[in-house]
Amino acid sequence: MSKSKYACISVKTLAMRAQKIKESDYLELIKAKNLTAIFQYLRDRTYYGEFLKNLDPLNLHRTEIEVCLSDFKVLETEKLMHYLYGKDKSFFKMLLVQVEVESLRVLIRGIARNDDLESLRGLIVYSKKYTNVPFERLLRVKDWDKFKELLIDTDYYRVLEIFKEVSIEQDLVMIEKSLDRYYYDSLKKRLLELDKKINRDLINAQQRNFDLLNLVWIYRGIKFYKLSREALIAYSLRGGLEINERRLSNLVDAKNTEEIKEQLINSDYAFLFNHTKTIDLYMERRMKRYLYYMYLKLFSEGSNSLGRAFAYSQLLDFEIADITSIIESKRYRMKPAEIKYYLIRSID
Amino acid sequence: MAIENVIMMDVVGKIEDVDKFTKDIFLFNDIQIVDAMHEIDSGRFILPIREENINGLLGFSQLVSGETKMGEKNYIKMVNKLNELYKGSLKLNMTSLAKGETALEKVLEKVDEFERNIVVEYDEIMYINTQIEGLKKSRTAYSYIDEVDARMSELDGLENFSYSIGSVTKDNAARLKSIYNSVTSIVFHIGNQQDNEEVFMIISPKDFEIESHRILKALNYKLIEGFSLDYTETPREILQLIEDKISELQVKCADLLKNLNIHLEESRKDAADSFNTLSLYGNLNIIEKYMAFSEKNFYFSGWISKRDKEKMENIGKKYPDLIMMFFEINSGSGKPPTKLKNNWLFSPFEALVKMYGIPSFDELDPTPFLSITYMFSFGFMFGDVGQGFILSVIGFILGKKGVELGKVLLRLGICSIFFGFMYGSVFGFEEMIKPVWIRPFDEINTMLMAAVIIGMMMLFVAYIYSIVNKLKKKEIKEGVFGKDGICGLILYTSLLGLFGLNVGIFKQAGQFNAVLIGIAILMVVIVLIREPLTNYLFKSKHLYQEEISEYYVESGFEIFEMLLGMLSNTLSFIRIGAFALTHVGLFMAFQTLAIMVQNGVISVGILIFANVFIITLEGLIVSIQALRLQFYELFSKYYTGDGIEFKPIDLEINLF
Repeated sequence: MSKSKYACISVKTLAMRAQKIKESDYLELIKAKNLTAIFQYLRDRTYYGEFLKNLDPLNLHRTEIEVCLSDFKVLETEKLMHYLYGKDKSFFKMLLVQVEVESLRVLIRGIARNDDLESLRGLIVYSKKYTNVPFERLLRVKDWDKFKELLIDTDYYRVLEIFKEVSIEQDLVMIEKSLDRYYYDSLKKRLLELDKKINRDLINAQQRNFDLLNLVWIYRGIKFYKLSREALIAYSLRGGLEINERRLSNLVDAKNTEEIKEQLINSDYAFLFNHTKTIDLYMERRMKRYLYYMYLKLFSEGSNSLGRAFAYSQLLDFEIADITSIIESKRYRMKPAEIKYYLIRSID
Repeated sequence: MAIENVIMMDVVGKIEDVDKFTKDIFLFNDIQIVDAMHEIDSGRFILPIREENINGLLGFSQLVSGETKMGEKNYIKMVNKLNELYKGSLKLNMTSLAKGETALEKVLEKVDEFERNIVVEYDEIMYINTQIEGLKKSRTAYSYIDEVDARMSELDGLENFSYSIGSVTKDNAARLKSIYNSVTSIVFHIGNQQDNEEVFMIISPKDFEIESHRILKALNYKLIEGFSLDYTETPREILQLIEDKISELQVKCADLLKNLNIHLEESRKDAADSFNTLSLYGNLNIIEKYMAFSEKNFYFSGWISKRDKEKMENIGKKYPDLIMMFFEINSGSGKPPTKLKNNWLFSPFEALVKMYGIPSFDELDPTPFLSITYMFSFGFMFGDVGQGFILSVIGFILGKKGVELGKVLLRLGICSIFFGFMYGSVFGFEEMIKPVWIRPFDEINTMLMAAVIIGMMMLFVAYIYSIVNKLKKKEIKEGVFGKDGICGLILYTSLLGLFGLNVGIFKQAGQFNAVLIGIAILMVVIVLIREPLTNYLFKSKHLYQEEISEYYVESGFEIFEMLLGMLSNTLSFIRIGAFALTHVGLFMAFQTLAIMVQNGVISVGILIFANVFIITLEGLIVSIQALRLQFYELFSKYYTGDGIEFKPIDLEINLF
C-alpha cells in the first residue's frame, strides 16, 4: 500500500520531467545572440513556450522572463499537490512558501526604499490557491506598521513584529535573514514529519542541503562580514546531516577560513574548498552542482516515495536558475565557453 | 409548465425614488438581480431613443456602479450591534415591513435614543472586559516567574543589571542554548508558551545590555506583555492580587449584565422594530450595489418570471417618470437563469435533478419524468406495506424539519406501501395479506420481464425528451440523425421489433423481418454519416469539420457504442426486478434464521433486526440504484443540465 501511494505522482513527475529542456537546448541557448533570441528559442522550441507567449519579444526585460518562469514553477507545484494529502502535502506546500517569502522580501525591500509597492506588482509571484498572505492589499500599503498589521493572521507576523521600522541601513538584512530562517525552520519541521522509513533518501538529501547552506553562510560570514560567533549561530540552520551541533559550534569558533577548510578536509563537503584560487567565485555553483547530482539520483531512485516529486521540483529550480544565468550572462556579453562555467548543470 | 419563462427587466428611474423602489423589489422577492453596470457595459441595457427617455439616455455618459456609490453604511453596524445584544433572537419580519412606513431618519433617531439608554452599561461592560483581558495577560506573565522569591520593585530597581522576559521559537531556543556559554548575559529557561514558543529570562549587566539585546533581536526575541512597574510585591503576591481583582470585576460585570438584560427586555419591541427597518435598509443597500447611478437616475436590471410582468408594471406605475422595459430571452440578453416550477408532488425531486445539474432554460424540465419513474422503480424494488410506512413516517418528520430529501423519502415510502399491497408483503411477512398482483418469488421470470418492459418504456420516453430538447436547441444533426435522436429511436424500435418477431412474442412473423432489417441498416448508415448529411442539407461549405478518415473512425466506434448501449441500457433495467427479488430473499434468510434458533425472544429479536437492517441498508441501496438508472441510463440520453439556477433576492442576500 505504502509503495503504491506514490505511484501516481511518480509517473506524473516522470512525464513532466521528460518535457523539460535537454542538453542540446542548453547549447542553443548559450549560443543565442541576445535576450530576444533566447526568448524566441524558449517560446518556439521548448515546453516553456506556452507560458511565455504573452510576452512581447521587442519590449522585453529579463526580469519578465524570470517572473514568468517562477509563475510556471508555482503552477507545476500546485499541479503535483493534487496528488498528495496530509503530511506529504504540507511538506510540498513549503515549496510555495519559498516563493511567497521571496515575494515578501521584494515588498519589504520596496518599503525600505520608500518605493510605491504597486510598481513592484510584476515581480510578485505566489500561489493564489494556497497563500494566506493578502498580497493584493499589501501592494497598496504605504508604511511598515500597516504592512505588519495585514500579516497578523499569518506566521510572518511573529517574524516581523519585533522590528519597529525598516530601512536599508537598519534591520533590513536582519529581517531578510529572519524570513529565510523562518522558511528553513518550517521546512525542517515539515521534513521531519514525513514518513521516515519511506522517505529516508529525501530527508537525507534535504539535510545535506542544510549542511551546505550552513557551510557557505559560516565561510562567508567569517571571511567577508567578520560576524560574531553569536550572529553566525543565530542565523545558522538546524537539522543538518553531518554538520551536527558540535561541529557547527567548532566551525563558528574557527578563527579564519583556513581553519574551516582543515575541519572539513575529511568530510563529504571538502569539494567546496579543495581548490586554490577559485573558491569564492564558484562556491555557490559547486554547492548547487553537488545538489544537482544528488537530486538527479534521488529522482531516478525515489519512485516509491515522495523523493522523485521533490527532486523534480528542485531540478526545475536549478533549470530555471540556469536559464536565468544564461540570460544574465548575455547582459555581460560573455563568451559561450565562459558561460558554461557558471551553470549548475555541467555541459560539454 | 415545468420550466418558467423568465424575462429581463430593465428599469430607469429618478434617484429620489430609489429607496422606495428598491423596497418594493425587496418585498416582491421573486427577482434575480443582475449587475446593471455589467448589463450596460455589455450593451444589453438599451433605452429606445425617444424624447421621454432623454434624461435616462444622458445619464449613460456619467454612470457609476452601485458598488462604488454605496459603500458601507453606518446602520449596518447598528444592525450588527442589535443582533449581538439580543444574541440573534431578532428576526427580519417581512409582513410588518410591507405594512409599516419605514423612514430611515425616524428609526435612526429611535435607535439613538435606545443606544443612549443602554450605552452606559454596555460601555462599562466593554471596559471591564478589556480590563479582565489585561489582567489575564499579567497573570500569565507573572506566573512564569512565580518561584522568584523577591519583590518586583527590587528587581526593577537593580542598579547594575537589567532583566527582561521574552519568548523565542523552539528552533531559536535551541540556537540560544548553543551560545549560552559565550553570550554576555545569564539566561534562564522559565517555561513554555502554548503556541510552541519557549520563554526565557535574561539578566545582563547594564554595560552589556545593548550587545545582548542585539543578539536577542537576531533570535527574534519577543518581550512578554503584561509586566508593569505598578506591581511591586513578590510575583506570588501579585498573582494573588490579580486573581482577586479578576473575580471582583467578574462579579461587577455579571451585575451590569443583569441590568442590561432587564433594559433590553423592556425595550424589545422598539428594538425589534428598529432592527427590522435597519436590516431592511441593509438589504436595500446590498440590492442598490447591483444598480448603476447617474446624477439624476438609477438603473436596475433583473430577471423575473414572465407571469409576474403585470405585477411589476403595477409597481412601476406608482412612480412617475419611471421607465420599465422587458426583454424576451432571445433578444440578445445574456444566458437567462432557469426557474423551476413543479407541483407539490414533484417539487421535492428538484433536489435530485439539481444534484446532476440545473436544466438549461431551453431544455425540458426532467423533474416530472424523474419523479414518476423514480417513485415507481423504488416502489417496485422495495414493495412492503410495513417498511414503506416506516420510511414515509421518517420522511414526513424529516420533511417537517426542513430536510428537502425527507419529502422525497415520504413519497418513496408511500410508493413502497402501494407495491407492498401489490406483492402482499407486510414487514417481510407474506402470509398476512393476499397480493393484489403477484408474489415476486413465485414468478421470478414475470418479475424480470416486467422490469425490462418497464425499462423499455422509460427509454422510449427518454428518447422523446431527447428529441424535443435537441430540436428546441435547433440541433438538427443530433436531434434528427443522431443516436439519441429520431433515427436512434427508429433504430431502437426496429431492433426491439426484430427481437420480438424472432423469439415468438409476436405471432405473425415472416414478412416483417426483411423490412425491419432494412430499416435498421438504413438508420445505422444515417447515424454514421450524420455530419456530412446535415452539412449537405444545410448547404454548408465543408462537409466534414475534421479529416474524413478521422471522422469515420470516430463515428464507426460511436455506432459500435450505440448498439452496445442500446442492449446494455435495456438490460440494465433488469435490476429493478432483481432487487424486488433480493428484497424478499433477504428477509427469507432472516426468517429461516429466526426459525432455526427455536427461541421465541431471540426469534423476535432477529426479525426486528432484519427489518431495521432491510429498511436502512437495502433502502439505501435501492434508492441509489434507482438514482443510477435515472442519471446514467436516462439522463445521459436527453439531459445536459448546464443551466444557471434562478436565485430570488432572499437567496442572494445573507444579512441575517
